[in-house]
Amino acid sequence: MTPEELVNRYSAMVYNLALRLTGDRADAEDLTQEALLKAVNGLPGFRGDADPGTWVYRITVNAWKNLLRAKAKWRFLRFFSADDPKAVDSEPADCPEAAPGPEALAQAQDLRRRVESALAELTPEERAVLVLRELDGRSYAEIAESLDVPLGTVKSRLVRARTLLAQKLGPEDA
Amino acid sequence: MAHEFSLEDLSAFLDDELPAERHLQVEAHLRSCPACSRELERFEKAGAAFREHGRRPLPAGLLGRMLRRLRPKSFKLDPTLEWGLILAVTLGIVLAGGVALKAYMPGLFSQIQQMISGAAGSLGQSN
Ligand SMILES: [Zn+2]
Repeated sequence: MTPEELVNRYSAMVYNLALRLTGDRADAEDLTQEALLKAVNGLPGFRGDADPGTWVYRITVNAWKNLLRAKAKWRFLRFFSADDPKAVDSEPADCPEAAPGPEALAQAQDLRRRVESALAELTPEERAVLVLRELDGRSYAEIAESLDVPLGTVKSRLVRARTLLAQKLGPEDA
Repeated sequence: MAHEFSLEDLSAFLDDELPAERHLQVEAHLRSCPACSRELERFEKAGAAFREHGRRPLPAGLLGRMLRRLRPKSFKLDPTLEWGLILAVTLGIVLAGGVALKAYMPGLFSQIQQMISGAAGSLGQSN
């Protein structure tokens, strides 16, 4: 695989993963670039028989963990300075896509809002499992490897994510 | 849940991630249990809603920015080298044109030669 192929093939999924890990568009863009550049640099040492997706997602998750550590350090430093820390984790900005009829649009927007409100109650790690399963159809074993967690953790996170989504989508929440 | 299977089993069933035997057991149970079937359907719909409404497109320009950062620098010529190359190619074309003109149209060639020396002569006079 060439660097171009790697970037073309995985940038959309890495971005979605990064967006749900960070919960912020600007951070997700930075993380996507960082992770893919790291993957490109590591390409010569990559074993051809391994799955490139799992490997790229793992790099993304590790880069996110490093970002968190750096932010925690930054917050710790800011604690001693004058101005109070500003929230960095805003909800991803909504960008309305091509407009169908007004009714269908309203319905889609409503569903989108419900999905986002469920995601907001999940942890980044739970959202990551959901992204890899639902948007990329990854197996539990691949997700476990990408996130460096046991298989049981993948199962339980997925159940929590689906239960919360179902709750928000359910009629009782209408 | 007062049934033989946990929500984790149902979720894993949906993803085809149960061992074969367990999968068959859940399948058989679902046929006779409306409550579990409803739960499964809720999970299915939750996944479908996320697939449809949870995906975000790549921000405009991000892919291009990343691909540009990948382009090897050796492929891009140094600007002075580039101009040098253009000059050399142009000179080559002019020289080759001159040689061809002399070989195939000697009359026109000598005419141009006279024009050039005439112009050079008038330049010399005015100086
Ligand atoms: Zn049941």
